[in-house]
Amino acid sequence: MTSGTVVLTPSRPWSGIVGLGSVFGKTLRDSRRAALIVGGIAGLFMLGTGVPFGRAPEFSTFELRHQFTQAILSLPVALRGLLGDPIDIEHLGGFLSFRVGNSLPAIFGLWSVIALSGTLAGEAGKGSLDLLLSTPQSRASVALQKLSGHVVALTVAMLIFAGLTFFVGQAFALLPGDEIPLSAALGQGVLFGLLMLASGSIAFAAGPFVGRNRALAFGLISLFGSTLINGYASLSPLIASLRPLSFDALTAHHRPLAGVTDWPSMAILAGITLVFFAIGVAGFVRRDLGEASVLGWLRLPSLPAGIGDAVRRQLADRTAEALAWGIGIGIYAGLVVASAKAFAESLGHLPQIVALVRVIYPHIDFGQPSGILQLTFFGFGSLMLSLSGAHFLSGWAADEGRGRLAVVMSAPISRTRWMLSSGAGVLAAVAVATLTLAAIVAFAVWTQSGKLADPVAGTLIIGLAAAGFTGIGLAVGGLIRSSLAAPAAGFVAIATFLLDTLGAALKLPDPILQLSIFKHLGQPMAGAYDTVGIVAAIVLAFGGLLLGAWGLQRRDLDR
Amino acid sequence: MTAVIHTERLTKMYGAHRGIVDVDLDVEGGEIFGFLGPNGAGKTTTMRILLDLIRPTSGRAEVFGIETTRDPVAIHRRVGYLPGEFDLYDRLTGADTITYFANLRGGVDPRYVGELVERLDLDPSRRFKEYSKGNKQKVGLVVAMQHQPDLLILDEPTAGLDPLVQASFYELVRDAKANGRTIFLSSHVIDEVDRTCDRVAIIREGRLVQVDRIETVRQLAFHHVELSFRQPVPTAIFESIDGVSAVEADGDVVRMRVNGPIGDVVVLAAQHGLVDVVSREPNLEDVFLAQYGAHAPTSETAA
Repeated sequence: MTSGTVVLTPSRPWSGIVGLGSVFGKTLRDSRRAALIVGGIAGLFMLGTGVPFGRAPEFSTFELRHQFTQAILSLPVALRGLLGDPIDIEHLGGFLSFRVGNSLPAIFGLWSVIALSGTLAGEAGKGSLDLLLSTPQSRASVALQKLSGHVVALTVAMLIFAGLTFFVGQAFALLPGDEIPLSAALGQGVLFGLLMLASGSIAFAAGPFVGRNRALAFGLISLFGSTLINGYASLSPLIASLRPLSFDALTAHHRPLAGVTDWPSMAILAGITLVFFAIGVAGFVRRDLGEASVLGWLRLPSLPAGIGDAVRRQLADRTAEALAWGIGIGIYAGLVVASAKAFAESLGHLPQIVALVRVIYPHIDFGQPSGILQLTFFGFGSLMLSLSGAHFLSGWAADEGRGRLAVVMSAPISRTRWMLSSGAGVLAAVAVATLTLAAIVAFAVWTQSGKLADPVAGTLIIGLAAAGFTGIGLAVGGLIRSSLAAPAAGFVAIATFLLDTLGAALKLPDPILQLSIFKHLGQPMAGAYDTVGIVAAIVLAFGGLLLGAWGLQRRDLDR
Repeated sequence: MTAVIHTERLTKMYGAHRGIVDVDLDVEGGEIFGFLGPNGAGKTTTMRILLDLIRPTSGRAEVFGIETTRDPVAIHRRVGYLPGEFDLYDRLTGADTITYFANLRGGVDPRYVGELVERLDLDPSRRFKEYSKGNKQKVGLVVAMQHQPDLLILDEPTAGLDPLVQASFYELVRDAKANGRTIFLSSHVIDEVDRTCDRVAIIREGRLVQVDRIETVRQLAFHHVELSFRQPVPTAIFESIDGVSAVEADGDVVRMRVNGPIGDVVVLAAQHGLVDVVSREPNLEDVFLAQYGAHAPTSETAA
């Protein structure tokens, strides 16, 4: 019997490279959007940082740039924190490297860590690897194809980044030496890509042994731990003793944009990364598929039972994650607080810097940890706490995505009640993360003999902002589709952060800049509060929840 | 015939938990072999070892004479597999999914794929995440069968399929057998195995308890015999006959289980005013339930 039905998609010449012709092709096909987004946004960071440097009158002469450099050098290393060493910052390339060189790999390394923790372990959990490995492909081949697919996608992203960086160097070079050679831009891309891959390789190596979630946790610890250890090693001998574990510290003297290279350190990092990749491939080849029993006991505490109602169910499922987020952000806050004293002392010698900062922060007492927290933690900490809400929403959405909601809805409970209860559970998870962070901040401030009330209250307020973003996600999830809740909340949070950091440099109109809720919270870590932002956050959180409940009542389930 | 699947004292432990224990199994070429057992008995574990998705704790397994851990790719070239539980790629359509696996295998006849899709009544244009459970199962079946493998390993293949599609599936399986292919399918649906398979293995708590041809296995079961008389008769007269058990009287009807020929029973009953005899053929379910220590339902309770 034959059939005229055409099912198989005709093979195209490039299907094996990008398409459904091979495991590699499919991996690259699935990664193409992420590659464009990562490369594009990383390039935008360079644009947003490079344009003001090339255009602002404060950097228009070498003398002015030299003054700026001296001011930076006079700051304690601890205060420079995530900015890294100021190498050749009197030129555009050096300034870009100094300003974003340490933070970009940490931000975009998330992509590698998430992708490489899930590429084998996550698919094994879904069961699709069972089918994939029943085809005539060896396990090693599947693992290597998936791995190389990600590496190529990341290479594409870094090429986009390098291209945009090169463009910035050509278009906004103001003084001699500002031009960025293509080789330097490419070299910086290689550095960023390798740093991203290094933490991803740890997640990849751990996946076959400990499963997707723990592998993700190990990758994230490596990613942020490496950055923080490098940035804050001078704070204490304890942190300094961890420097050999930091990939960022290893490559700290390799800054191609600043004209400084240390290729041996890059070779070592590449070697380490390859070793972790090899461990991951070997683990995948040798171990039972989907069997990830190692370290099964290692978990953060969660609420017992959680079967009383939808609030407790959500909260029980999210408690461990909420604690992890709170602890992770708390470690960063703790490091910032630990640098407070050094900062205050250095300011005593820098009256011109004090005058400059006073213009922006007229009421802040920089003798207190709360002042430092406002200056160096508020922005990034707010973003991270907001992203925790998006993370909790992705777990919440799984109820509908995996068909559990249909079972729950078969019980005598209205959609509105479920939405309000489960949404409240998600907001409660944000509260757990916030309270955990607040407790760590309070402890850190206490160890520095600082005033506790302001930073704790400030932490609660950025928690409210995080709840506001979560409320936006709940509204979208209820109105349209629950699977859109986390992306919506995450997108708005990141867009707000970018608006704050790049908006002014890009000379966006003031009404647009004012859309950022962070602009309307006052300076909460330092005790200056703005009720407009606080009320807006509350309205977004609970209004979003109510809107979501209204929407869920009116749409089809399981969309 | 040559054994397509051969296992020797095959054992798999998950830490302290039992997977399968000392499983000795031979599946011959060209037969449909049913693997029967309740949830958690070890059916999926056995199948995943055959595909080298998991490795045995001890013992060995061979497919096409190749030890599973030695050259799994060579085995996979000739095998089609349908997992018991799977979730494929949400954003791909059914056609994309089938194409992807066809590309990974190579040598797939597009006309045969079209035929499979038609016979299973699958709309391949929808995204995988939009499919119902049954339609996802159909995609899995097409992926498993599209390259016309020498051996089909199907883990609960009819789960989620409607009766019409189930009938099409049985037809496909019979066609595969007619073409000399071997089918190894697991199920906990006894009727499915009873109607489809040539031989069956029953697995209980990780151990094989019975392997034989379906007809032979059936013979091991009791006949359920129901005798109607003109007036009530004492049950004791039947209890002394060899092979008779569970004799019950209900007015002028006597029911019993008979292991072996029922001639002696009928002869004796005829001497006591026998009006009617109903004897239900033993089926696989009776054997299965007997193996699990449960009573096979009588004709009344089964109804």
